[in-house]
Amino acid sequence: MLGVAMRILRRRALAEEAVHDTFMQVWQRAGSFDPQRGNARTWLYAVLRNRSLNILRGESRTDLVEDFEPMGLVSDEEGPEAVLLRLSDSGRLKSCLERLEPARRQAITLAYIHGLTHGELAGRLGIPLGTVKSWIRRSLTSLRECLA
Amino acid sequence: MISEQNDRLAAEHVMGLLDGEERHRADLLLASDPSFRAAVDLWRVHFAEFDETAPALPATESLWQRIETGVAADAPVSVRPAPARVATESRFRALWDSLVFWRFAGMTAACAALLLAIATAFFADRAARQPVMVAVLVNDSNQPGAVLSTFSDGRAEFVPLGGTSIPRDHSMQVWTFPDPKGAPVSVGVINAARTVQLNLAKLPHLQSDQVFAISMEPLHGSPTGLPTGPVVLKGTASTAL
Repeated sequence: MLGVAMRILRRRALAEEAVHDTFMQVWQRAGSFDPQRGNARTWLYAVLRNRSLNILRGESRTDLVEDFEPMGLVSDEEGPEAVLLRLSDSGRLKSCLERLEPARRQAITLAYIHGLTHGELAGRLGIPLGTVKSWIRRSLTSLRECLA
Repeated sequence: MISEQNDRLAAEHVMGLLDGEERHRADLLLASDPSFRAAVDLWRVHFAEFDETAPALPATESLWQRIETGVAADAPVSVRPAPARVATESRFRALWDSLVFWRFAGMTAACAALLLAIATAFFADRAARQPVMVAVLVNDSNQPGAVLSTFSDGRAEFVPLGGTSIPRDHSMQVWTFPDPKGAPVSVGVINAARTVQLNLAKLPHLQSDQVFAISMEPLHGSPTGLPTGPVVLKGTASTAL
């Protein structure tokens, strides 16, 4: 869980915050967990991602200047292709992503694992915002067909 | 059936890409539309595979302590004590009337239910990964060319071994004989020599010694629904121990 939060928040203290908050939320809302709606692990991840994204988006709004991290920081994290390689061979996500053009599957991967926005993706990939949006949309449509 | 647009919205919601008006729309749909919630759940399951690739970072002792303290503080032990009871009232009655007790019991039950759910999911997951039947498929010269494992949830995994290749513009098709004297039934078409997931859920229950065969077919599989090309690999299923 900490690893998932770290990829989004990049800082240990913030990631621990997110995991802590997730446990608190899970504790308080255990009754609202519905096994019919999927397994507990997926639910935990969903709560964790939600919390991490809120921290990420909230932080960057309040202390934008202090928090600004140049693109140089990118180099010490695992690239999207490395993440793709580590996807389970037995799952369908990997084979479906492999059907997309490399740049597009990278966009999907980056958006999900680091919680990047359309704008951040455009900056990271060096392409216009409109292009990023239509890439994501079309990739999701083809993923939908492939995963169905 | 959910529209393509709403399904895309569900996916972008799960990815955390929505803002402004679209985010608002997703929130409304989440609250009002069960098919949208189902789509969100499905995308979560799909994308959870990404989460599984995250490096495992052990939580520090201080993090666990904070979580424990937080959970303990949340339990309403500090709620005002129940008013003093007259001596005739039984202890049981006091307990029965105690809001603190019931809150605590409710909380404990909720947590137990959650733990059970997590454990069940975890073990079900483990059980589903354990193959039920395994077939080693061999070629004409009795060399193993692929392994087919079937699982209790109806999935099957086809793992080609070294040396198995598919000629250009051809596909391999997996067949099985649910009825030893009957016609073969297609299980799936394989376009590249790599591990592939197949679905056996629609087939009758697998028998031990059921025959599996792989034939070489035109690209995307046999046009007739029955094998048209040569059988390249063949084997029978045995129960996995």
